[in-house]
Amino acid sequence: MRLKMLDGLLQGAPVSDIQRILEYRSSFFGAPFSAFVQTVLRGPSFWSVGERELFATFASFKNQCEFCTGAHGAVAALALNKDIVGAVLRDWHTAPVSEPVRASLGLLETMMLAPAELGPEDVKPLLALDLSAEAIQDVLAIGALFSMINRLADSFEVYVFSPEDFMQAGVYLLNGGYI
Amino acid sequence: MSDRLIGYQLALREGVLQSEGEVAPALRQSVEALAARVSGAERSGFSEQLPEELATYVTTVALHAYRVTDEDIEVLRQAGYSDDALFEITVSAALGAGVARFEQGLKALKGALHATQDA
Repeated sequence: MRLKMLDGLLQGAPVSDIQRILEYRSSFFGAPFSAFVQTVLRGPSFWSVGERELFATFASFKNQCEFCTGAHGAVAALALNKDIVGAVLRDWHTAPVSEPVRASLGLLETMMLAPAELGPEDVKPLLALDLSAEAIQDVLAIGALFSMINRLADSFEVYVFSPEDFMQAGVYLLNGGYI
Repeated sequence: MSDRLIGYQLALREGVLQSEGEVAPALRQSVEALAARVSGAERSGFSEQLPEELATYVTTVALHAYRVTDEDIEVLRQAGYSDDALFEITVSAALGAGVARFEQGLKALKGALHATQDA
């Protein structure tokens, strides 16, 4: 990574560079960030774990973050299936997902790429599908948290796993979560 | 926002912007505010004007972090920022980009809920 003291952490341990970033002076960022991620991705929600991981994958993809797209794409592939993840990243408009998921992907796209333009019109399609404010807040929280970690992954230049290693890490993240 | 998430957001902001660190909290707050502002959030009252090289880096992180280069980091090292300071500054910028999106999204949700109730 670009900051050498991050590389020095957990040397030789089977962990990702993201875990090193979260571990470094963890009370500054990593601990409160991980607690927030855990509650949003694994806590009680209208959305299944797979759907939330799909949102995380999609937000990361829109932010052009290769590591987070791969890491969370693997978890989403394990929780849902690989074809759905691929189809969403190719074209969310036509991917075989539920309408609430599709509408949320549309909201996330604007949120990631043109946040200044976000307005009520971007949220109305979700309300029209009877999604609760709480379910919509969960989508927004995922978008916000991944906007942060995607930027850290790319600014610090984390090492990107092979597809096989992403799948192996995905099993761990799906079962073990984020804290 | 619901109480369910607000505590988590506050704890995160407090850690990054107020805890002890190498970069003064006021400067971290200005970094967060600049990143939030270029991400579309309303932010007034910069407590501190950022040096040009720092403002350039923070804007890059906020708008397209995937374009950050080794050279960007080196420029700041040459300007006297330690790696710990760069860690804090980058995290503050990333926080601003994320929080801005959350604020914009929650505002949009609020507006949509009002519009639905009024209809």
